[in-house]
Amino acid sequence: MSTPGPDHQRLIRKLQTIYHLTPEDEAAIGRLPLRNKDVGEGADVVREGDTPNECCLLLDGFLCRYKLVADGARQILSFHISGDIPDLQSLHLKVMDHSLGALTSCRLAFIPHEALAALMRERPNVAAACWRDTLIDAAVFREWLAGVGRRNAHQRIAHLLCEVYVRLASVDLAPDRTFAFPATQVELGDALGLSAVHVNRVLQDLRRDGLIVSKGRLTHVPDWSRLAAAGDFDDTYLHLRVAA
Amino acid sequence: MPKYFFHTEGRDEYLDEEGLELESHQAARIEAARMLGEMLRDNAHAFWTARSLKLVVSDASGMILFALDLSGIESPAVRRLRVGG
Repeated sequence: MSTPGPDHQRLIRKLQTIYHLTPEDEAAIGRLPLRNKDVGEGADVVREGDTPNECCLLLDGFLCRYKLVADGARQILSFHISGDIPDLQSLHLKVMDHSLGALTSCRLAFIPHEALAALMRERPNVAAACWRDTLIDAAVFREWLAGVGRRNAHQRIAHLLCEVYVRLASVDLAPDRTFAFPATQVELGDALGLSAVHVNRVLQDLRRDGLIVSKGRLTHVPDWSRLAAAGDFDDTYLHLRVAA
Repeated sequence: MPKYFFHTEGRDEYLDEEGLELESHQAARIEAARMLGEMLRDNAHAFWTARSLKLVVSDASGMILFALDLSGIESPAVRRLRVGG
């Protein structure tokens, strides 16, 4: 049984955070055909209305799901990190009801729908893991809805930083509680229903209070429990196999 | 793009030391209005203690460009009731 390559490992590592996969499951994932593609910052990977016949595995960089409403205003619906397949639902939902955009330059790998469907028939564990992933997706939306509806600006931003940190940490991308989260203030505002001015001010406040420390382009969390308290954050909704 | 600084005056005084790049005065005006609305939404009950919320926008040189000034006003009748009993 050959070891899956580094690109496949990103998917395996992510799925292992939410479901137990056996070595045979991992080997089968390792045999998925991947079509590699690089995209630049700001590019659309898939657009609302598209009918893709492949899924996009994010290898490196950050993607976001978003929708544009009638006057052209953008709502960012979720952020995605290495190992995520943000459009996995396209396997069953033929028409995209949202767009997938690159927040940074990204390395992507496209997987044909037939190959994913065949893998899931062959390995029921992998099918269960993918199902669980989309269920957790829904849990994240529920949490975001509660936040955008009822949390104040300070809590919204702290909560999002907590979520991003926990997700990055689960795939070993936040050593020493330090991570890259390259969303701009406008993008944070578009995700959290806040004006960029407000995002700017809250980030200043978080830094002044020592809840986050900027280290170049990286963010460091000196005291996790303080940031979690500020964000009213409880990681249950992420349903990770190993809690933060 | 020019930088704009959004300060709060009054009870919860805040001096914006970083500023934000926006396209134009018009964009800054719109963002200021949005910001005021969000601040009011987040602190609706605290607003009635101070009964005033003021947002001041300046440019990079420190010159004030515009201000948003919100006041909560009680009618004399309500004020009498509140003070009296």
